[in-house]
Amino acid sequence: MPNQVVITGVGPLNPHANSREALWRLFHEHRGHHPDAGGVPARRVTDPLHGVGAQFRQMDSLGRFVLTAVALALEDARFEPAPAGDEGIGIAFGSGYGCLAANAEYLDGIRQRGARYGNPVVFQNTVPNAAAGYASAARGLRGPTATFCSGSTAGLEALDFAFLQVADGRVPAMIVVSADQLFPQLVAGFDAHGQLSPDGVPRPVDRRRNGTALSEGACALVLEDLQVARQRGARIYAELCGTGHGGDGGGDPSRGLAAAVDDALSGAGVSAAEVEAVFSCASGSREVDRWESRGLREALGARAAQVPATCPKSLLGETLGSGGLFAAALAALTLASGWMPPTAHYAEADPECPLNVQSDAAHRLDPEIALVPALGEGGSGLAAVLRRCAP
Amino acid sequence: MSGHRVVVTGIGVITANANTTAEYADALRAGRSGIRGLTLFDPGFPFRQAGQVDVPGEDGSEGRRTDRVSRLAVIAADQAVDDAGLERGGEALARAGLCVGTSRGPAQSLERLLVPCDGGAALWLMREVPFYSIARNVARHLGLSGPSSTVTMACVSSSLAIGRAMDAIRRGRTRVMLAGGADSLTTLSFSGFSVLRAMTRTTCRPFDRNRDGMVLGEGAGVLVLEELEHARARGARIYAELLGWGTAGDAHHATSPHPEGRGLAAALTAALRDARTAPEAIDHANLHGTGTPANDPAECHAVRRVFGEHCARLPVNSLKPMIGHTLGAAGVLELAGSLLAMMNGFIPPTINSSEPDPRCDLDVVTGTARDCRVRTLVSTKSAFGGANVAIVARAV
Repeated sequence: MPNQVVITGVGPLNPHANSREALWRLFHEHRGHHPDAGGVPARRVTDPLHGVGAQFRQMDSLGRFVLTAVALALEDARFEPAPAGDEGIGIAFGSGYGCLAANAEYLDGIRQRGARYGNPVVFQNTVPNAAAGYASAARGLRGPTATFCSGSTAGLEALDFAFLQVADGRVPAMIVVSADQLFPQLVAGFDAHGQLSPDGVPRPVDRRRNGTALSEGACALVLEDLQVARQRGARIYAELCGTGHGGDGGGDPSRGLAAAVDDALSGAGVSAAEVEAVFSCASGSREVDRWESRGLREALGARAAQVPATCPKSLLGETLGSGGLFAAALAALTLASGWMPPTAHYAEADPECPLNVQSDAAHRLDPEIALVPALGEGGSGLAAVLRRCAP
Repeated sequence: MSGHRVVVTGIGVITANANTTAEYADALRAGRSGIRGLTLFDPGFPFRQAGQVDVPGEDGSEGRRTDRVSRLAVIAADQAVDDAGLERGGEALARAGLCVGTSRGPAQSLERLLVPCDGGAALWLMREVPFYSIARNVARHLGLSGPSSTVTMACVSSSLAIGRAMDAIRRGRTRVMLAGGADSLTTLSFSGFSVLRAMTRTTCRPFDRNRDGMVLGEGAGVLVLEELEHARARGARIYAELLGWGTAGDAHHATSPHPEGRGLAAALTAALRDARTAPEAIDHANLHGTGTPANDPAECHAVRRVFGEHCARLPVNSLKPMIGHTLGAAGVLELAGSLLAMMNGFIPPTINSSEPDPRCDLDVVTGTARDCRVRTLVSTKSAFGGANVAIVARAV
């Protein structure tokens, strides 16, 4: 019998929220409008430095995002790894697009000065796992470690890896973190592919949707073995009871998502009828939102159109790899509080995306089981199932 | 983690010293190096030796097409599928999943994206630049539709990919997984490792007292991993069973290993526990052995700590002097080489190494291949960011 895994800490970092409380406030004080409506289509985090010591001055901004989010999550969990380092705590990291900025900086340097005059301090930041390495060194996380760089599913893939480490009893706790930073060519690439909303307003699953709004940031979660968390008197937000990973069935992304949801539900021992809240990955993209709805319909049947759903990206924007972890964080907070956050900018239903979206304000729904799906560009889907935890 | 048993039924490799598995096994037995002067680009340094791959049928021009790293990965995956006897278009292959590890990803496309280009080129580059493009290109080429994944962990990327794929089969997500990795030589990595003073000015000679650094390489390796009963039912040839794996972080430094190999020792211990195998049951350890002054003693320290007196009966080696440090592909290429050698009854030599370093006092196989029967082996790799992975395999 696998060990039960619970979420005991949440560390969000994005332009609108830099703590658990701020994230929750963002959704609860929402009055139907994106905080940026009419503003720039891509948002940057302005001050990611938070509790970073002098020895980590060489970090790039991706590393600072990760370290900051990890610090916030550990603080939220009131959890401190042993000062001498802890082999029992690992770190799983997911980034959709990695460290493009550090690569550009290094290449600019050697183009200007020649290959022999590259900056070694910048070079160490040119691999995506460097960010996880900094967090591991700064917080003494000496357990299992893995970095995923698989587009929009990277965060949930890291969650899947970390969940299995704790569920299988390899370690008592894992930190999961996901981060992406905006980079001019990346934004231009999304724009060239017609993915960005011209007015900068993401309208997930709305018939009028015209693209997404990119945003950067990071989100970290603390996962613990239930018994260990109870022993230390931790506050438990929710149980993470299953994760799933599915392939795209040869080119149809909705099938990858459906397979992932099936996998996660069966791992959790939960039926489609028991799902009471969906934290959708819809971002305002014409295609992604449609594929997600089709995948959910395939996996949940008629239930897909009935179960209350919310689209966190309507307020957070498309945060790339960390989208799945922001959704999982909100799902955990919803299960703990009973309040389901609303979806911004939702006014006109789209028959191609028949989700039961909560649009005006937060609703008290007291859901027992929440589903978090993520659709990937690389030909796969991921999903997580969370359950309310008895106090 | 227990669950379903995982076996290797297919191997595909493309390296500096071999374009097929048969050539690779021959080269490893003969101690044949593929290191030579780099021609792919001008590295801008007085030294230019590297493990460059000659891609069959290519003239060296790049143009607008799939990134070099994807082309290497597709070649290795093609070989692995044929080697495993999986039918093209058949159901087993169509349902298979894929896990690709890479350190630098599609680096050539990235380098071109970072200079101004026209709109059409930008669209093409955006398709090739994300790390997941390698997995997507391989999956499309072979018609795979199982779970697809891209992991990146510097020099342990493909080891992690193999571990992750093992777990997918063990927990019953899929019965066949293609797992491995690829990295190509780039101006960025050649420059970066040079300015870190990690590159040799002479010859890569791991564990030797005169070692002065690593030599870069490139290549790709893919293993077909299969659930044991699935492999038996279709009468597949089985190279080895993968018994377990482990990963751990040093929590020490961005680029340097912990001086006592703390994370590596933890990864080895975790892998042995996962494999339910005692240290004394391991007959051979294929080490990372980069040939840098810092790596080799740290690694040997970790091996001593885990294996103790058993080190006297534990021959170790490094394949990097023959193929170069292939970064994200190192884990799969060196595990694949060790499995091929195990099947053929030898341990490949650590060529170029002749003067033992007292700080690396293990039984290093040097000079020529050592004939010996290996039943169970472990392959370990370490990386930037303090990541370590160990994989335990047993002959069937």
